[in-house]
Amino acid sequence: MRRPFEGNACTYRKVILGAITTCLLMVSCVLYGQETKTGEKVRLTIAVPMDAKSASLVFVVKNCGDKVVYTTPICTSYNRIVVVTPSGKELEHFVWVDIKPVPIKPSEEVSWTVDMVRIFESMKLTEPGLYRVYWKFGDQQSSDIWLLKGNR
Amino acid sequence: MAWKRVYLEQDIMYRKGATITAAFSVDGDSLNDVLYVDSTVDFTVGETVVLFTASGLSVETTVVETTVNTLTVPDLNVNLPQFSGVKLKNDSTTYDINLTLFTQAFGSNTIGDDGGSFVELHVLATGSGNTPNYGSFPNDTVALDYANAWFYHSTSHDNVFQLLAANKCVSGWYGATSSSLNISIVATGNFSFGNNTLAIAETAVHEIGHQFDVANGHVDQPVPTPNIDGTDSCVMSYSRVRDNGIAEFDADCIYDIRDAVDPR
Repeated sequence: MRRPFEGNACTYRKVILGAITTCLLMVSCVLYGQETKTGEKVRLTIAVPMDAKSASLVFVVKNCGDKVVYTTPICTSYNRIVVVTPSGKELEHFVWVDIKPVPIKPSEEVSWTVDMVRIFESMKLTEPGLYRVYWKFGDQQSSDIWLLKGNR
Repeated sequence: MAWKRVYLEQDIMYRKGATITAAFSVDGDSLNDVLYVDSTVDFTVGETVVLFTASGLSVETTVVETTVNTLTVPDLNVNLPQFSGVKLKNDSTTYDINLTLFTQAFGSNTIGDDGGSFVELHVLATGSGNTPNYGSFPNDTVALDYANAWFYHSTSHDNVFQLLAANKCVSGWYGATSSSLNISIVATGNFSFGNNTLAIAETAVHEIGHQFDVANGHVDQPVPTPNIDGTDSCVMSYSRVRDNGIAEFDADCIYDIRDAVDPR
């Protein structure tokens, strides 16, 4: 698993905190070439969209393999946002849905823009501090992105 | 082998009327009041409607004016929380979920030789009831918040599940479940099968299956996996036939359900 932002935890906490604070963060946490349980390769990217609210994140999955990958909308079934609270509690945000899955053909990508403020509200997350957020897509997992809530 | 008993709070949405989308608070004047609702297509000016809340409050009033998303009514002296309802006085038709496939899926014979999972589901008399019409939930969050607002037994016991018969969700799902909230919703208006009654009944089994957190490779995946009788795919697989009246789990899901110490 390749994690572009791996390194000294304290260092990147400072870096990312600074970037969020100045609203200039453009984070691309990319996983390359990992096998899903059904053998397809996908690439997961979380990024901050420059044309939306700063509290929005965009989740992009690209099919890098040669087989069709099926998915359901973000925050449903095996397509989950995971939030780790400042106190270390890990919470998966998703609902099981019975729906026709959307096929992602080889080399195609699908993205979802998510208002993280609404996600936090629906999860009743009020504790101020740094939240670690990552994305679970089937058996794969993105790198982390950090979100700051409230004053510290 | 011990049986589990779980309880269903069966909440059923009215087909007509609307849901109040923003809480209303008494304003102290005597002027007409405006209620924000999901839709006003069912209302006509001068019609008598009933405002009702999850806590049991019920008040008759009259429609004075409508816009796309507001109802104007004579001055109100009651507070109405978000997701309260507006019902047509003379129309009590509802959406419906047939529960007849539950016994087939979860078991009936005491020795378990029918492939069931040794779960007895009992519909609660208390708490089950009608909920306001919501034409189409705009997203999953609103659907869950709405359901939770009407879930009478929401925090009472781990072995009480809400099964809500709703209309539609914009994202197009047939059913949705949050096992952490014990909520299952079936969007009956999203079905267009040969036999919708059976397809809806089968989806209700599927959603309650999620309450036991079954976790196998075919669950919510287009992966065909024979059910315990080999008559169709497991009821948890997207590859199943939805409207053939067959709702059985495969051996792995049966194991998960039977192995669950306590639902949730």
